[in-house]
Amino acid sequence: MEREEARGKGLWLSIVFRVFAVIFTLSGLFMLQGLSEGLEPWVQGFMASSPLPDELRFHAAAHGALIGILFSGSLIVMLRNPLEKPILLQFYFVGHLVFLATLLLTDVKLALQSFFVFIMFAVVLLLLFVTYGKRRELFRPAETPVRNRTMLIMTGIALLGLLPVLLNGIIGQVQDPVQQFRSGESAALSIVMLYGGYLAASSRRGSRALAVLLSLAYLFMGAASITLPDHPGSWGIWGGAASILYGLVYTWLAFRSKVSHANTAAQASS
Amino acid sequence: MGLEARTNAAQTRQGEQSHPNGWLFVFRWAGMAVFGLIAILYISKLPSYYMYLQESCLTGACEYAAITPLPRQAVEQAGLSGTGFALLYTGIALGFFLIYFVVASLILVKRPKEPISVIASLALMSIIAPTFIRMQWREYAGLVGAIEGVTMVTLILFLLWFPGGRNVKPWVAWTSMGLLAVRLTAGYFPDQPWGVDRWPLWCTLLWFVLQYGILFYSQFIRFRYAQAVEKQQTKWVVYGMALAVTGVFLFSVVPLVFQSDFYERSDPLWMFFIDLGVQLSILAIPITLGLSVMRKRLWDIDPIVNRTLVYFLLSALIIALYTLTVWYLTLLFRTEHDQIYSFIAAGVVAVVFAPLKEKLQRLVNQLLYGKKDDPFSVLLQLGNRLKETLSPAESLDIVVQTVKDSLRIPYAGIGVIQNEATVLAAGGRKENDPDEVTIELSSGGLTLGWLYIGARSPGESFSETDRKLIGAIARQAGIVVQSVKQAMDIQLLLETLRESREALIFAREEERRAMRRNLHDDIAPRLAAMRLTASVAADWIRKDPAKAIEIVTKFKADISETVDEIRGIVHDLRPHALDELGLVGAVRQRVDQLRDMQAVKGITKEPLLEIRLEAPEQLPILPAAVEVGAYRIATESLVNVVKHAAASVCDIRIALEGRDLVIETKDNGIGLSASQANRPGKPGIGLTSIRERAVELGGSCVMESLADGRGTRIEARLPIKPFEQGEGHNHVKSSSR
Repeated sequence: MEREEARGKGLWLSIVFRVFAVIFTLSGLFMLQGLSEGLEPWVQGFMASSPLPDELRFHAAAHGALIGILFSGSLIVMLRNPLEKPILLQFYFVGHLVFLATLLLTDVKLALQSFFVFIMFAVVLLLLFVTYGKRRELFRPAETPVRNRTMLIMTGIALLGLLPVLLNGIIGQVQDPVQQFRSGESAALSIVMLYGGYLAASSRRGSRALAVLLSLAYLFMGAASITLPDHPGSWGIWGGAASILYGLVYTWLAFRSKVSHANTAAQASS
Repeated sequence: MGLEARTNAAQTRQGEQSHPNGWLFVFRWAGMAVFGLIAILYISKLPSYYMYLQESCLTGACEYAAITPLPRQAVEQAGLSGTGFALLYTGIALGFFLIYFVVASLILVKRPKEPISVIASLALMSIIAPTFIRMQWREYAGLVGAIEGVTMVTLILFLLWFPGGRNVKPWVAWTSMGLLAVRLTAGYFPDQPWGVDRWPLWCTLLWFVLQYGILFYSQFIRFRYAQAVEKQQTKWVVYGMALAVTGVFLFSVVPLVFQSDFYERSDPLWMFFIDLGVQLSILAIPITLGLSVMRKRLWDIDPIVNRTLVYFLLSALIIALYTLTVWYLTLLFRTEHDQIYSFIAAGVVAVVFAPLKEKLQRLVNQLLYGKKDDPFSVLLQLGNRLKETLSPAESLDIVVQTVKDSLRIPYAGIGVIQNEATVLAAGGRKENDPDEVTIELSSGGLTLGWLYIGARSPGESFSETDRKLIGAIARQAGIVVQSVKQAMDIQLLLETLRESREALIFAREEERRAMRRNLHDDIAPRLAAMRLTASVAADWIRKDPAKAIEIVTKFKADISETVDEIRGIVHDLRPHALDELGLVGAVRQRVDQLRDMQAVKGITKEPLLEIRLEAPEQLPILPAAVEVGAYRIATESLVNVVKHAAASVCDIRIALEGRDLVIETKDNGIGLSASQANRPGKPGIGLTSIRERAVELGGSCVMESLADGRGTRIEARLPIKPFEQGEGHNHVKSSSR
């Protein structure tokens, strides 16, 4: 009887979580302009009331990658079997915290002006946390992490590549606070991508999906860089090509690690 | 020793074949004449070259200098006078020429009878002489053209025929010759529409690609199927050419890295050093070619190539790492090049230098020698691969495969000693391969088998490192072979056990059949007849008592016969005397019976046989099977002596020696072979029976003629230990009851 009650409660929680996930995904894509800004390198002023200045188009692409691909993408992936992918919600949580921390550290004035953003994100995170069925799994996972050495090395390579972007973003934001946290957002994107790479290397449940999202982000940023090689914040043609190559290799490794994971599971079960 | 002998023999054969008779004589002297002519043309112009340099170069254009002339300012800065400048340039020209000339002359002197040495000498001259001759003998265009043509021909022939002096494939030679002919013809008529000077760039490039592509293909094919010496010769020349090409490439391209318009500016001072560097790089060709043709220290090329590759790759990677680090730091901090970046890059290089060198060394070693450099990893790999298999035969296959992979050899095999013969258990061998190396595989001090290793190429021996690795693998292989052998022995034992069990069942069934036959065919009819006789006797008692008495008397005789028959059957199963008298007593009784028979024989003139029995008074209680076996062996031997040996004395000895019961029969008769030959019917049935009985009981049997053929000795040893406890105790128990 108690078990049935618990099952019923879990089902309801799962439904509510999914509803919130859909709402926040749509909010990220449309209200926070994850979709429209993400398309800015190729389609200017898509679904926008006022056109974005040309020098911010690459920054817009970074915003699209962060909000549209990584954050909204995580919630979309979690619509199916959310309890099996706690790592994605962890990534979503920490990603938002990184975003807010970067804002606070690089532009205190702007952070104080847009305090509602902190409250809004806090509400979003709180609702998702409360409705998630396996809250304990978020920060104290029962799974023993098995570090994937290749993925960790890949994250190390990404660190080498993203470090100049990160430093440049922080310096840009500190030196030019007029641009509404555009450079700082690029820095936050770099940190979030590196953190995602670290999580994806843990081989926990859902890490493959996270790796695929990261690959998409690298491919997207590479394409945007090649499209807008000389715009502020752009990684340039060589940086863009390297990012696309990295994204392809990362995708391949993500699917390869799936096989090895399955093998390990099969061995363990046998 | 073997290799040296073969090489000498090959050289002798080659020498014999190229004995300077006929066209070879003409070829040799013509080649030497051209060689001399080139040398004379070169050296004779050195004085005028000196004068030209002294008089014209520091004041004029100096367009006929062999290498880029230094600018006047640099000459003055270096403190050189006009004479010193001329001496420097003439000295450089003479120095380089002398190196080529000395090497070419040495080749001609040391290998005078081989046509390839003449071609090699001229090919060497073709590298150094034509440019100088063209500039200094420019007024004799025909002569210069002829010299250039000859040197080009010899260079291509050299690359086509080196080192064996023969074509690899006819079509390769014909194609190369055809291309050469096209080039020479176009070269001699340069101003014609099809002349070489009118060739478009793509046409010249195509000619070079085709010509040198074919020559490269020819050398590749030759190397692939070459003998050991030829392979090493090719390696030397390829090594020299690779050094030269790399040097030329580096000297030509590196300046562009620092200054993209380097060749547009064409700074004479730098151009002088680049020219000098290029010339020095090309010196690798005459040196390695000389070593190759004269076949001096040929076998040391692999370590040299190894070191060159390691240090070249290491230098390239260190430079790349340093440059990348500095570039990355400037990118990271968005600043111009700073001294601190160089320090950080130097630090990074210092940290990675040692591990990088080690990794590169391993990589190159693996590339050149397989995996032999690291015996530990080979053994680890062997161990891991052995873990994956359960079958002993597969284990040996894995050992063989590991040996082949790690040493890069054409074949390997493992022979296992079985019944004093070696059986090839894994891998393969080449018939009558004189270069095959055989390594003993042993464990626990016992030789268990052999590891056969084929040489990488005919005549090529294994280096010290190879031998160390082979030794390490052989030690592991010995253990594997031991386990395989044990598994095979167990298999064999199981097979023997199965056969023994079958034989036992068969023997038991045979015995039961014989007993049934005796009972059915003999005893049963007798008993039936006796029942009939008894009924008949009862009738006759009433009718005729006398007749009845007669019938009963016969009946009594029949009963006696039947009793004897049954006793015979029982005797066959186990002699009755054994139960009554024990083994020694039974044998003694049998001896007495034979003595009695001899006594009857004593009526005739035949000599009497003296039978002497030596046995302990009391034997321990023996297993029944051993007792019967021993009795049968003793009596059978004794009967054999009586029947066939023609002996006067026969000694029988029954004794306990250790855990064995020994039955020995010795006579002074005609000996084993003679007695067997004299025996009518099937020879050796009795002896075979004795041997089989001994073997059946787990013992052994020795049959031999005594010295001088006088007499025979039969000794059977029957182990009694396995039965001692079980059966002995049972026997005691039953007797005590």
